[in-house]
Amino acid sequence: MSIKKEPPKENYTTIVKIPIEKEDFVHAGEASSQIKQRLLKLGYSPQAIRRVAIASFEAELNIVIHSVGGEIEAGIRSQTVQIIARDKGPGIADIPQAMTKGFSTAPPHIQQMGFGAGMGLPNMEHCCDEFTIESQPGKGTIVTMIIREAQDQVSNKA
Amino acid sequence: MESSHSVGLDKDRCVGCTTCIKTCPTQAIRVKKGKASIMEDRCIDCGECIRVCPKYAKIAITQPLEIIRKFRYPVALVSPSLYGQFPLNIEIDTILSGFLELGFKRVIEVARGAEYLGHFINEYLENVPSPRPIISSVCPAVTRLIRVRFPELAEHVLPIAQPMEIMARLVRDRMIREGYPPDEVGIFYISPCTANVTASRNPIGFEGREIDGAIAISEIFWPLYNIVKGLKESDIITRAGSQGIRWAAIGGQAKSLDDQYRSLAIDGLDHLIEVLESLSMGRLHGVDFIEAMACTGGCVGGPLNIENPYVAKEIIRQRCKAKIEKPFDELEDAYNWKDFQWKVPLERQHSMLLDSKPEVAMLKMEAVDDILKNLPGMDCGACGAPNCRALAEDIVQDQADQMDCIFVFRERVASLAEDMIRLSRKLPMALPQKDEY
Repeated sequence: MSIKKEPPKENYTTIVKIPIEKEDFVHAGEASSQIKQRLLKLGYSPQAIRRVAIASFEAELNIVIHSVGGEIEAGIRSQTVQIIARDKGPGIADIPQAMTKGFSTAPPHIQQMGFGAGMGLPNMEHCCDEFTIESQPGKGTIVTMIIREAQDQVSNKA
Repeated sequence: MESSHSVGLDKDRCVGCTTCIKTCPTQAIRVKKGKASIMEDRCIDCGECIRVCPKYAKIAITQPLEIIRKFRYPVALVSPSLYGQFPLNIEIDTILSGFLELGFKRVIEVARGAEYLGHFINEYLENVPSPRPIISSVCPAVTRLIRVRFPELAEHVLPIAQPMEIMARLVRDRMIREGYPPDEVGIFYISPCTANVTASRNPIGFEGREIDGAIAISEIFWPLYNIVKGLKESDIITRAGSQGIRWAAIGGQAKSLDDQYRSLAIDGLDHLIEVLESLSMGRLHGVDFIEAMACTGGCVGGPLNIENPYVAKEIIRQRCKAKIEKPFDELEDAYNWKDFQWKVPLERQHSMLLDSKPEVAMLKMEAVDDILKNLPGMDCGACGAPNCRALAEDIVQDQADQMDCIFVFRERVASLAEDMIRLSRKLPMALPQKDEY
């Protein structure tokens, strides 16, 4: 099983850190929205902001649907955004299976709400430049996502 | 040209209350020295502040009717929302005839432009694989909102001229072909809103302007009404059918779409912002088109109308019931969306940026968070900024001071008073000390 180590995150300056409650669909999107607003004020490119918004929202939703609760933390370092989604369990037993498009363990009542189509993790991975997932059944899951500004967009800011 | 906004202030009427700063969707207003002032680079000309100002101090900067005399051949471009301002017993043909009596040489229905655009949207949806949903660019306040607050959604915005621009171009081309001297043709938009007044001066998606001026519906209504009510017959036979007229109210654009497309029709900036947030996070699926209008009710809800938007909407609906569709003739049918495609892409507006240097912006953001810890978080607006965060940002940008916060100020006064009492009890060592205090 490929469980990668969480990359060192000391160098990132935290811009948003928000606890996420289990099954709190009403507030899902709050973290993503705040991260997005801050990146806009910091001058990140629209392209990077879009990727961050989608990735962090999916991560947020995963915590709401699948976990007992957790948090989203976003940090920045020069032209890079790091999003860490941590939860307190139950953890993922088979990560490759969880990464498969269309695979979902969301209960029927949540799938009826239009969530849990099994695209969350693949979608997150798709939006990032680096994606790592670390999980221990019974303990919890940590997803770390890195999104970099595309080189050609860095130059023409402001 | 730079300061080309359409929302101004009647200084004598402004009492410096904080009603407008709270409703501004881009936090563009601050009350300074007792008067509301607009940050030019943030204003999207939605006219929300005009609507809510209890003292009628926020005013639209439009042109007086007399302006048309500057041109030998003035042309009126009439927004279909005007039809919702007149009672149903006055026909659209008659309303349009009134413009000729007012001194216009031609009167052009923007509703026909809406029919063109409806056609173009279907073409675009069918042929261009741009990200879905497409967001309508008919309302310039929406387009500017996206430029300021949702630049990440720019690629969703429909890059085609809006109905008034389509008609302005067509009528100008035709008149020039017919031999009118270009300098003597003046095209005036009869506008229900400030957003379009600005768009007529400062178009989005194009370098040059097609429209020479904009006159508010509220400015032209009474002179027009006085003429129209006496008109028995009309020489004008309208070109636009119900499909275009319907665009005056929310839902009209969506109705022009081919059946296979799914659309949302959203009116009101607060509702729209919610949907754009969702779209930005990737949570909006299976929608092809978003009809997005800043004003509640659509254009009939524009701040420069006379009639209540709900009444106007019903009048439009009744008029559409009675009216037939008017198909394009061969000449009209020859145009396609590319003839009216934007020449300039929608650029992000950097007015929300804390600093142009990323490192400095980050330092400023940290400073904002620090300042915010000392502010009460009541978002009362008494400082003149819409909320505590906005004040903190203004402080960091040297536009305001901590003491502008009435609560921080009071605390400071209290602590000063305490210091004074303490100091008053502290006598010089040389004097006999009063131990009993």
